Amino acid sequence: MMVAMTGTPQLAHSKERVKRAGDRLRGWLLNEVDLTEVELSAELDVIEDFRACHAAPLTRVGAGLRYYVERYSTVKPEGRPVVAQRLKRMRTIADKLVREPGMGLSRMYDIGGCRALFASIDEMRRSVADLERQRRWDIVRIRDYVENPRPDSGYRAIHMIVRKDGFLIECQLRTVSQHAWAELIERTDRRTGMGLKAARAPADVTEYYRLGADLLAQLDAGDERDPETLRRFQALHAQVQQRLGGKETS
Amino acid sequence: MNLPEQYFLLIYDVNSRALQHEEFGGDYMAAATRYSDVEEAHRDSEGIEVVLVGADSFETIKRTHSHYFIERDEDLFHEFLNGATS
Repeated sequence: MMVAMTGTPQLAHSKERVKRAGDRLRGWLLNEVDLTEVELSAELDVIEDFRACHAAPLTRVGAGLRYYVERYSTVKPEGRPVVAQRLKRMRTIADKLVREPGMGLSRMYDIGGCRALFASIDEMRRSVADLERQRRWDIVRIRDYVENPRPDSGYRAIHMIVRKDGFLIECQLRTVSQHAWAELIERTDRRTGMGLKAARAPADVTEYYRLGADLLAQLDAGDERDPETLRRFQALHAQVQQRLGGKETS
Repeated sequence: MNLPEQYFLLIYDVNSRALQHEEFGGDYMAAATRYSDVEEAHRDSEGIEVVLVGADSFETIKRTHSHYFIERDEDLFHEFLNGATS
């Protein structure tokens, strides 16, 4: 990667070369393409360079998000809003290339990702509306998983993809309870290897966590808990805990 | 007040659940370079997760990436289970 005097990252490779590196890595992972160790290493270098180019725009988007969110989010444990960023792991970039064969690496929008937390749906929506009004905030796409939760898992959040310096950055906006749920799924997946995130987990476990997400959403919305959802959730509790090895008590 | 971004490399051992971290202050170039190096060193070890994160403080990372710090959310579903047999 080269960094020009302006601090704007410049790809050492063309977008076409980046896409080809992604395609070749995918092919190698699927045993469809033979690569020598040297060739594989060269492709990985191109991909790492592409990822590293996201660091500067990611930093700017993260700082911008913190600035805008500050006005609306009341989640401020240290007097400042909770906003953080991460650069996607190479392994999860590779996983995504395999999982989504139509995804060209140069169009992967979550290599740089930000996250912001809110106390309520209302705070989050007002912040989204504010961001939509900002002329310097170049929104490419908004995915509203609050209005339309992921049907398999029940995941909720608002994802906003923005463009900065020619790179795509994904912002995940979540309420505290949506975030706690998503982190619980991360932990459960890592501990059990069940693949809740990837929708590979056993049906009863998947349904249990989906119902849990629904119940948390009812609390977020200030609604009464739906008795039928509650009944099904409680009915699944014991068998799911047993499946999880009795280690998870929540 | 906004503090400048700070970068942290998290190195998490899935099996022992031990987390190490390295700090880079605001030097994201140094952080990104180190990220690639550490990741490369662990490329074949399934049980090690390496991730580069940034925020105004390490405390913020503990909230936004809590799964590296806390074993479980004991009480997340607690109030849905009152009266349930388990």
